[in-house]
Amino acid sequence: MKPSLCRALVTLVILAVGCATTPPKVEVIRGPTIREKQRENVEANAGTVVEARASWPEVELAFSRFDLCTQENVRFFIRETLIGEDSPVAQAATKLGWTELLVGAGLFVAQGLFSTVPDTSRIDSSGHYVAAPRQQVRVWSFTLMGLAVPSFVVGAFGGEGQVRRIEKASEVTGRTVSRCHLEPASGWAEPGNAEGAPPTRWELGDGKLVLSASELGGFDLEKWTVEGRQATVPEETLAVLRAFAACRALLGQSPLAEPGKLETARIQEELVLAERCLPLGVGEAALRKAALESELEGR
Amino acid sequence: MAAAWLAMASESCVGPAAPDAAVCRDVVHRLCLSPRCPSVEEQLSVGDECEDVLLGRTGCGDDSFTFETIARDRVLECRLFLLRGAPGSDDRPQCLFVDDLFTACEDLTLFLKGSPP
Repeated sequence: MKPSLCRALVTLVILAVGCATTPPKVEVIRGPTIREKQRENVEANAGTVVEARASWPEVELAFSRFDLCTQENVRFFIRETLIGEDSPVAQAATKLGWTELLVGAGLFVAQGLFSTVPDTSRIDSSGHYVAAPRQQVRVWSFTLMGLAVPSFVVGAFGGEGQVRRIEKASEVTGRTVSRCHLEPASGWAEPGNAEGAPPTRWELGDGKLVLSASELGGFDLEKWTVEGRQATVPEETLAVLRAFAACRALLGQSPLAEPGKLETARIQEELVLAERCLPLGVGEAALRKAALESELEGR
Repeated sequence: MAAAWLAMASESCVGPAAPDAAVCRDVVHRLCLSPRCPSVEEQLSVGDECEDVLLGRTGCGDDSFTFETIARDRVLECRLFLLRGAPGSDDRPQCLFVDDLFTACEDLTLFLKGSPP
């Protein structure tokens, strides 16, 4: 092995071991609560929400711009952190031990690369030649591995220090997020386009829009944008819009077909629509349902 | 404990014993390194062919040479004068120490002269 390569390997091992650090043992103790308080955070102009109120054959949609208000309950308490570390001497001894062990083991493994021929060009003071390189390497590998033992012993029993840190800490114990500061939206509103329907938009008046059943044909009423920005359609609004769509599908044609001329499958479909429309309190739907049921019973 | 361990390791790095011929040639080589100390010529009268003359007188030019008229340990003891400040085989010994050798080691001087001590 070339001396420069050997030196590089040894340096690498020493650096690797020297840079390795043992993570300290950390214990966190929760102390008493100092105080609790409520914290508010407002995200301005967070979106637009849609509310719907149906009065067959019209539906009134109210678009409101809103902020998002977050209320947090925050608890402040004392936190004690105990950080246990090996003493500097113990740390150094452990690193030294690893260095000795690894370098020693490395030399032992690499001994085959060295010559077995003694250096006969030099005779020492006792009349002996200098030992063969392989013998020297083997002896030093045993020596280094042997020296690792006391280093590890010092590292293991060399003492331990503890750092105690006391600080004020906080935690969020509860959070409520709600729409707040609602104001009528302005600009134009656009429903989602059903397949093939041309884009349509309506100007809002005081944030409101009153649309008749005939105007709502061919749109996806569950998706709305206001000034190009997606509006929030809450579940209760969706329920109203779905019921209104059912009413429109049931009662939208004028005049209504006589039940006696309808096929049984169509009657069953219209009964389902009537069932969905009824929550809006549409009297025509109730009458239609009764007529359909009667026709169905007669068949 | 660590120091003792290291000392033991150092000892273990010693190789095999050099043959008597090699020890003898090493002494001759060191004494004859140029420029030779005046005392070498004064004591041993070797002329210009210092090494050849001394190897011939002592017989250690022969690989099978062994010390008989002088003990190996005695030669090694006297050789220490030549190693002071000149550990390498081609390091010229200081003349002061060469003079000390001739003073302290009359038996080796006689051996190098080719006479039985």
